[in-house]
Amino acid sequence: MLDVSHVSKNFGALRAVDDLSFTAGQGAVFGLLGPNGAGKTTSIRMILDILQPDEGEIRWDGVRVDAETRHTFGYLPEERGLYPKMRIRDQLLFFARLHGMPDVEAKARIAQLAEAFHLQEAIKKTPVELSKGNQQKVQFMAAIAHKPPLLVLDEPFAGLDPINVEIFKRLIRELIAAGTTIVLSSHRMEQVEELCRDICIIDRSKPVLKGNLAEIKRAWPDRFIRMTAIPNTAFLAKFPGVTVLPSENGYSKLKMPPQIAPADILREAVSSAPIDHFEVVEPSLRDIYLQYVRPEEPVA
Amino acid sequence: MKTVLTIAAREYTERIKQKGFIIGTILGVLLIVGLSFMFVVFGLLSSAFTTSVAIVAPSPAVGAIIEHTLRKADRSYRLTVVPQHSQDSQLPAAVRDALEKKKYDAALVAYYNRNKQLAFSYYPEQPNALSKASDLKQYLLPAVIVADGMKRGNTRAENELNFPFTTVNLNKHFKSEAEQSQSQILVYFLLLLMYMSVILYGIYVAQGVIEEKSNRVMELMIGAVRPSQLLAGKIFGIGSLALTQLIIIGGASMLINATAAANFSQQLLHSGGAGAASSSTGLGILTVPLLSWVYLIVFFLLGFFTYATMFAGVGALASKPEDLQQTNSIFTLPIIVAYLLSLLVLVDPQQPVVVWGSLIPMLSPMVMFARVATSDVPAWQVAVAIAGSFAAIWLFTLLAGKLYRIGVLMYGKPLAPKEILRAIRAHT
Repeated sequence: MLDVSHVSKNFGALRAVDDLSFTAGQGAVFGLLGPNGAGKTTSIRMILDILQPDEGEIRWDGVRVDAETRHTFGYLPEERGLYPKMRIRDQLLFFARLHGMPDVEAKARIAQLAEAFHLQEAIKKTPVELSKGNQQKVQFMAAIAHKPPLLVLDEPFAGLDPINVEIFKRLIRELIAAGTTIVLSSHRMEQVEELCRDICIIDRSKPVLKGNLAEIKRAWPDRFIRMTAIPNTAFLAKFPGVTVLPSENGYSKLKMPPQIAPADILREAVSSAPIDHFEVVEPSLRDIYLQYVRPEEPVA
Repeated sequence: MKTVLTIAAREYTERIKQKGFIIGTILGVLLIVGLSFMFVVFGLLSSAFTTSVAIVAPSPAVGAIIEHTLRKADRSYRLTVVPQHSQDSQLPAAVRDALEKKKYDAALVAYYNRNKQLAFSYYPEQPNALSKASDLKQYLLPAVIVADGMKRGNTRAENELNFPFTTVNLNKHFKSEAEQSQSQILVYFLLLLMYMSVILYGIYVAQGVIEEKSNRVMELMIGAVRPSQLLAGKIFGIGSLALTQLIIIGGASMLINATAAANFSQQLLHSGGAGAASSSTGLGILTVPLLSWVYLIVFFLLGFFTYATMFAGVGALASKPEDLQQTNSIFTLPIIVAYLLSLLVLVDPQQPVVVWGSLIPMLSPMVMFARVATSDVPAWQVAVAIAGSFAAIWLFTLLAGKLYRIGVLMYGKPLAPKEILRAIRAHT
């Protein structure tokens, strides 16, 4: 279990992370969300002991994270690369060695992962001969080859096609099933929603929301309606507090306060346009995120 | 430690396969082979120039025999039998004066030793005369046989084959006969080798750091290892690579040495000794003494670590290869100064400027190497040079470690010197 407790980090006058606390449990994915520059990468670097917090502490299974413990962690950085002219298999073996894995075990593990990622032939090549998606798979392999108990994934899905996203998700689920603790930072809300049990949203260095994602959704005061796209929303004037959200996948989306009955809205809607789809839904992670993260101030 | 070795091993095995390294090593070997045989060419050339030798003999008759023998053997000698007679190996005062006034290039004193055997002392004053010592010995054998036969009526071949012949250096700048003939060219070659290796492999370190930063492998690495381990691994890996190259070139040189020696004994066997025509120097093959290689490796390592740690720090602060160009020219300046100073050593190893230069860290590895390879240097000075280098390496390692921690994850525009200082202070 990863325990981040009241952690802060300053860079000169800039407070990059301000009093961040969360716990990431075993066999689950913890989502670390926030806009660019909110302090996610700095937080991740502190978890990995690359940077040391100015205040607070980070513990893994009760022990303060140091060079010894972080050696066992796996990390897929957002900005990532490989040695361009070194054979993939040699690179993977090199990274596994750096994490202290014995060669025999590492070779078997690399073969097994290559099969899972359909890269049996590719690992005999150098990165320059590989597509970007395949390079990304190799980087993912490098992060998990040594079977880390804690895996930190920073934007793992960026630049991946849907098929590869599915492969990544499948592997992440396998890792969870095997008891790995995963910290995931991503802007892809659908994937975070699908994979994360708990989340923490950081905005401008401060945590603004954290907890179990299902509970957050359940406790959310506003309700949401997803319905057939309606061209004219004038009828909504009768319902104070109801707002029209950007449409999702061709459906109209409404947010309504708890005192309004969905049936009333349905009745009005049907009288103004033909409706063949109408459902009351929980807030999506995107709705929650947009509620908490303030838009960037215009640059002066 | 295991992590450092893993990183060093990757640096080593990946770079040793690169074309640049292979071509560089082959060129180095070719160059040392070429230089080794250069004296053969020089020998041919110098035989075109005459060497004037004053002959001092125990009697006019012996003097005449020596003159006759040498004239027949090699037309490049201009021989003068002086009127003074020798009692022993000592050089008569008048002849010494004449040598100092450059009237002769060398003097050859023939005398009877305690065993009543004809012996020779050769006093070269000019470098061209020095290089002819072994030729001379070889030419003199018939004269010994004739002179001994004349004196005792019988000849004892084994005595005559090993007749005493010593070379006495008059010029105090000559370290010794063998070394002098070789020192200039070979020390120059070794200096060039060291200069290029230190610069090249030092810059390799900086480039390696920047490559890892620019292709973002650094991000993956830094998640697994500490910056200090990364720094140490890189420097050790590239250092071992440089050392491998030096050892290959040195090995090639040693091989030439051994071949020349084998060749010599082969010739002895075939000719039954009578044509003890060639020692390795007699063949004109130039060899580097093992000790010089040892010095080269010791001082190369000191120089490499001094500059590599510095370059690693510089590399960590840059984001793009272009950033390196400016800074490199600043940091290679001390190496260039050291190189120029060490060339001065070849002119005169006793000059105060080179003596001082050989004691100053950053300059000392090259300048001290040039000094020990060409002259006798007091042990305390060598110790000061080595200790100073260690101190510099220690200091640069501390500094580079800090710059590395600050710089490895820093991209974008290079930091201004003021920001760097602030960052270093913040990490202490």
